Amino acid sequence: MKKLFKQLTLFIVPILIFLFGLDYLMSRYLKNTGEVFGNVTSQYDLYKSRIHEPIVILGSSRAEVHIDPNVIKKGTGLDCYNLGWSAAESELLMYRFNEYCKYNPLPKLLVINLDMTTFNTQQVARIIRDEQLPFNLYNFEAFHFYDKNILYYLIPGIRYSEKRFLIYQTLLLGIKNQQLETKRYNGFISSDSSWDDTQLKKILQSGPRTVIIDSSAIKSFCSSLKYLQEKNVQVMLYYAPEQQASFPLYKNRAEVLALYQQIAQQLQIPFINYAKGDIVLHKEYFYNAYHLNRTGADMFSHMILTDILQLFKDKLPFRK
Amino acid sequence: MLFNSWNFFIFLIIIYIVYWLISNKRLKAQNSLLLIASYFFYACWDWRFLFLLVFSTFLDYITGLKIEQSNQKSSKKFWFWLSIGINLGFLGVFKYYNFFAENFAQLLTSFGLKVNVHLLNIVLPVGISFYTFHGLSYVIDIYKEKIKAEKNVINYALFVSFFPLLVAGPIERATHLLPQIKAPRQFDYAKMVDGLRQILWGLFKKIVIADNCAEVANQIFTNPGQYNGSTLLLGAIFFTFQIYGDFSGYSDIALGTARLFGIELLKNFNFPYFSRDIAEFWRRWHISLSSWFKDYLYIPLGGSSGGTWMRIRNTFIIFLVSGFWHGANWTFIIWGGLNALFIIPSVITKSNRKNMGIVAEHRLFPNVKETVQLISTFLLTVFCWIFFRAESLSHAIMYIKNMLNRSLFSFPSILPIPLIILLCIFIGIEWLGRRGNYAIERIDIIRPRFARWSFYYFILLIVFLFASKGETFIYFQF
Repeated sequence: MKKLFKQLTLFIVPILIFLFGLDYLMSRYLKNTGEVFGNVTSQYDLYKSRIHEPIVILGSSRAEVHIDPNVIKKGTGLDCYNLGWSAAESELLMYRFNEYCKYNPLPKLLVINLDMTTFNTQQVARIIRDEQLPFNLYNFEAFHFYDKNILYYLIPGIRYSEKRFLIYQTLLLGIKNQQLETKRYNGFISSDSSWDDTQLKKILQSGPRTVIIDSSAIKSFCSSLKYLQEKNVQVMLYYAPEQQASFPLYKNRAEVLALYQQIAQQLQIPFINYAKGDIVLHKEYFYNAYHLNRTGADMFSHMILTDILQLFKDKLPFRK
Repeated sequence: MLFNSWNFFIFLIIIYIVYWLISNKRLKAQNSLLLIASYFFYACWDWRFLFLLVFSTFLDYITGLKIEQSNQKSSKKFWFWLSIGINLGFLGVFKYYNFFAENFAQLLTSFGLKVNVHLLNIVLPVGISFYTFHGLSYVIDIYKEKIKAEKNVINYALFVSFFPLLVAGPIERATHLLPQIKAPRQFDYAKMVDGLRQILWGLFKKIVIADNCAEVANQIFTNPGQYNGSTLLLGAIFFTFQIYGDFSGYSDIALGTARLFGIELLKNFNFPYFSRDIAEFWRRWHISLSSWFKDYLYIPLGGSSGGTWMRIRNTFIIFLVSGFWHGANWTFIIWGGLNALFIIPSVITKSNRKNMGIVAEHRLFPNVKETVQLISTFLLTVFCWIFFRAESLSHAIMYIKNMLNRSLFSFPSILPIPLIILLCIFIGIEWLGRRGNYAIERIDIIRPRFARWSFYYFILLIVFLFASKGETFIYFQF
């Protein structure tokens, strides 16, 4: 038996060297891949404690591609960071925000985007995204949140199994010492694409849907907001513009929006619904039913800036 | 707890260390540990069905003793049929009740009678077909006085529920496994290494071959109407490799794991896709089930001792029953029937035992005749697997209709080159290793160690890079 353990140890040593080496290289060079594997640069900013901006935007892709921190900075004189993350529902939002709080100081103002499906958490599969992988080693919050095997978080490198394209691209750039350009600025990225309703038409074909609200998700979301208020963080909720062609998609759209209004009233924080202004009528501002293009995002950023200035003029040290 | 999961990996390490360090040379302790581990393993699926397994075990244990102790033939018969009836009764209720009820209702509807049948909303207990067959073979062997009843309940319970074979076989025989359970087991370095090697190969087959083929095959089988004939043929070929990688991979892991505990299980696969006719294929595919049906159904029915018609009838019966064993669906029955149909010509001409050896045994490549035989047998099995994979008969017929037209000769719309390269490597390794019990068994003779280990590292690297989304094992549903 001793012989077997000796041989197994000898056999495993090169494997461990490989896994440790791979982990080190991937963590070091994944940021070089730019936008290829998602929101990589923001993850690095978050986990390397580089986000010190007093204004932080939180939400799904409808925050990520809608609010330009540059516009907010110019208007308020305060730096802004956009933490928007594609397809983030409430639990993922709060998970991301908790991770942000662990490594970075609390903001002065937190602007949170709510979608129709933000509290529809039952239907969302929790998939670990590529850009998270470098930061999941020994990350037990991630382990509890994603419920994957503990060994993924304990043994270096194992997280990258199956990820052959990610490994190939990342190591290739590392070897070449090359860094792909990212068009992201403080988490914000915009699109120049023009209106395309193919996806919307497909979805509409299957008939209108009903949003199922998860009350436990609302409860935990509200308690997180209360905690922030106790810590003197100003909070603002908003519903981003969506092209009016998408309105029929959800049967209980009005009820969901009323619920958001109700949450805001209970917590005494502002909620603004931007999906009813002029902007929703113009397809030229959108690249699909739910996302504004560069022109639309610029216009919307100015809209929200005006409201921030008005709502928080007495609470935040804006500089002109 | 899947064999290809980290949970199983941790479970195996713990049991292995405890087994050899604490209970080495103490047979009772070894068997008790293995039994507890096996019940824990089974309870991880669904602890409620553990009671069914324990009940089935006690039933066969007691009826086995009663059969042996009975002096009168009628008493022997009573206990024998009690065991057979309850075992098949469980199988019937859990696996076949809904099938019979639905088909009965449909039959009555076709005669103009409307009936509302009550269908059971129950989950099929994992491994029920396998452990029921273990128990059946044990009771039948005692009844036929081929073996003595086991007195020690732990030994018998371990025979039924030894965790490597519990959920998907191989279907063991008391004559083969019980003597091993009763004999002291010594740590053997060479066996341990061999077991680990077979586990590695099983993991490669499952994680790399089966799961990657499953992704493409599932995509094509889900919407056969969207693809041309050549793509559908490719989809069927991918499923052919999926099911082989899945089931033989499982068997390799089971055999390797059992070997780590000093127990040799029955060989279940012997390179079936290197067969020259369907009869040879069935001597190489799911061997433990084929031999079970041969011994407990085919031979009692008269086997090949009667005339041609009897041989044909018996062949059809065992293939139809074998199809039905796989699942309560007409697709499995047709799959079994088709295999019988393809085997019948060789049964009639008595040439079904023509190809008993290994193809191109002393050569590197097969000759032209063998190549034609290999390809034609492979294509016949591909055709049969379409029925096995299809959701329903209409699905299978639609698949075949869309496949067998002019578009069969057009360029496939899905051509996953990396997967095809992986399959070529896999077939190459299997071909070179076809003389062994499993493909990489003879890697052991490679010297120096550096070269041998490089090969293992290469396999591990492919598993690491090409691991696909962890699919469950197909045969768990049977």
